[in-house]
Amino acid sequence: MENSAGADRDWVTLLSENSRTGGSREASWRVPKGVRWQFRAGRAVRSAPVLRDNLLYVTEVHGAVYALDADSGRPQWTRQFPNWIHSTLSLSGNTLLFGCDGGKVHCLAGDTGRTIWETATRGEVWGSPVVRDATVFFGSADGRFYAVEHKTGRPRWTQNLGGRISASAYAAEKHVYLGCGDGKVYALDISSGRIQWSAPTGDGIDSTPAVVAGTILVGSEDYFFYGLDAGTGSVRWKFETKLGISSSPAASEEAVVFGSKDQNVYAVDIRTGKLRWKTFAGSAITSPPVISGSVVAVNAEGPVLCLDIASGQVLWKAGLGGGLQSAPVLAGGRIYVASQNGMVYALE
Amino acid sequence: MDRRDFVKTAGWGSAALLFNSGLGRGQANPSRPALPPIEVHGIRLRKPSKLGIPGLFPGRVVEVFHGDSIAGNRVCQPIVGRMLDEGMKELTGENSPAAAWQRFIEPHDVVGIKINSSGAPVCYSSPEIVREIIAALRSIGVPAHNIVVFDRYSYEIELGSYQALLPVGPRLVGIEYGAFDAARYDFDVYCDADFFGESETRSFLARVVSQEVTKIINIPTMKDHAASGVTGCLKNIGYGCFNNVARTHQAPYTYTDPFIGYLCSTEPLRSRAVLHIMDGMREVWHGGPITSNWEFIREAKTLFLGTDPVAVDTVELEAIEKRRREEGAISLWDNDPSTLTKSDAEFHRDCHKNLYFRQPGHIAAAGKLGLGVFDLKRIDHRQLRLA
Repeated sequence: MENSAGADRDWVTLLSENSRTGGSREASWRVPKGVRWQFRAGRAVRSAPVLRDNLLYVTEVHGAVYALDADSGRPQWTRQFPNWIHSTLSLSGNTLLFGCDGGKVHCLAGDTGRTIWETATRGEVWGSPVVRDATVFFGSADGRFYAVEHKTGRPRWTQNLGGRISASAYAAEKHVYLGCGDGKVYALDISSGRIQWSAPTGDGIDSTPAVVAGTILVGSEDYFFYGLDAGTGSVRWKFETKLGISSSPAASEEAVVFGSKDQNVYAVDIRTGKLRWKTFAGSAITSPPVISGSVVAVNAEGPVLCLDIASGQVLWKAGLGGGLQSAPVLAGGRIYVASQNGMVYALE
Repeated sequence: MDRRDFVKTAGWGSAALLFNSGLGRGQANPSRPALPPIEVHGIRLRKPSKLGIPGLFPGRVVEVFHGDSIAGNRVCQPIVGRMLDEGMKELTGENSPAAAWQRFIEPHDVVGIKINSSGAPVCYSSPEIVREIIAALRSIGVPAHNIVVFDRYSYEIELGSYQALLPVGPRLVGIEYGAFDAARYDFDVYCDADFFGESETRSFLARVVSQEVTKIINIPTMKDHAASGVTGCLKNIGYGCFNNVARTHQAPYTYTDPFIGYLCSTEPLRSRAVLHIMDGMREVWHGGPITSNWEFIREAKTLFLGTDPVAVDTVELEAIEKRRREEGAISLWDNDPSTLTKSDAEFHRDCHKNLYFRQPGHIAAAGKLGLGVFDLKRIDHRQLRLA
């Protein structure tokens, strides 16, 4: 996979890499002893940072993009764009990709911030672009899903779907999987965009799918979390929570972990869909959890919580300002967290 | 309209001082600091719209109930659509939903749908209702790109997942995201009052209201409110379209009465807010406006429709007060200092506690500003019970 992390210190897209596992390659996340640095990235950060080659990239909601030295927190370059940014950044090679509320997707040089290309849609782009086989995939609130050349931004194909697309896609070898505001999960042919199958849920989908062992794992605003057969879209199992699920899941080999707006973090067996544990977080959870060895971390509306992955027991929590989609980055023995109030922290 | 021609309504502040002392049924707030002058800097309209507050049907409230409209906290969109159709016909006297909508909206209008997402993800304007309203607007010829769904806080909109749940076409606008984020406000339209010695004494109107939309459909939710008593039509457009309004609360005091009314009276907000559809699928009778305590939330299965926000809010106030009586909670009008707590957590679990001396009198105060009918006896309250 072109966009897979090249080194243990890299964390190139939402949930670490395109497999959306949530960074499970690292050793367990220990209690941080202190703050190495903190940086104010404007007034608000909604999305997750990414990391490559010792540069931490962060977007501020009001249109700023920062490249920070991961050791010191000092900005290496900054760009200001005219539209709001909800999209989580994605790194591929030396390029940095993200969408914005004005409908554009930007491709920048990671080392300088220089624009390489940009392409336009007719709606907000909130999801994180996904790169596979030299193609960038992203959806838009205009109801279309786009595939463009990574090098140039030229269109490869576009597929019209039945609703807004606000979450990111999962790009596998032959198919791209995504959830849509029309309530369906779609499997699109990766080379043509043709719809291979669609599977209905009871309401719109605002969650990014993961795929493990032929099972698509995705939450819906209908309060259910689904395990779908990746080949056919048939429902293998579904698990009910008390409110909508927009948190994207993180998966280990056996369990999938996700948050719900009902304020709980759930771990569900990937094979059976049975509950392993649930833990009350005290605030709605819309951000994706990340897994690190034997622990799972999630940035709730309030604190960052660290849970034991086997039991769900809270190991520790830290009040860092919360975040709606801002998953922590766990790399090189450090934890990088961006918070809704605009602060970026490096803990170690 | 001339953008430079705004009116400064000098003297309103002193009028408010006189007017506040005689308002409401409850006691005056014990030792609340005196009400400061309030200056309204609105835009002078050549001809204020006759559709503007209190609109085409002053004093009329249509309450529509359907027992299957919500179950297990899931709203049934087809049933809500039918409730909306019947309610609109009853409100206007028209024979078809399309004719009813055409009383308020023309195809060339840019329509703002002001949602209430502040209780998301528990109690907020149901996306199912918003979708039905968008479908109704489309059915009478309003282009999708002329529909703007908006609210003050972008992160609250996101908690409600409107970004996924709205149909393709309408724009979704969060006016602000973080603290001190005033870029999307109109610095020519504001209300100015120094309540507690705050550094910024002005509250500015959102530009989406003053510069983009020509009509507003207001979708408040049915909730009590720790400061204003209830939050309904008036508070949703007043405190939901102007910034820097939390400064009117300094526990245990609040100036929601009369500030909400002044905000709603400001042009062009007043002229553009032509229809109010209160989402009463869920009723928060204690702990509002933001709570996740299901003990104080019930499925009321109701919509309230009207052009007169004061009348709709008066009916809402009576309904929530009745529920609180039935549940043994203290009255929304209670001004007993012994009920006060400084603990949010205690307030949210105990319906005998208050964070503020609540001010449900803000509704009558708005009525006295000419924004509608607050005398229950004069309200034409029509109730439809659908099968």
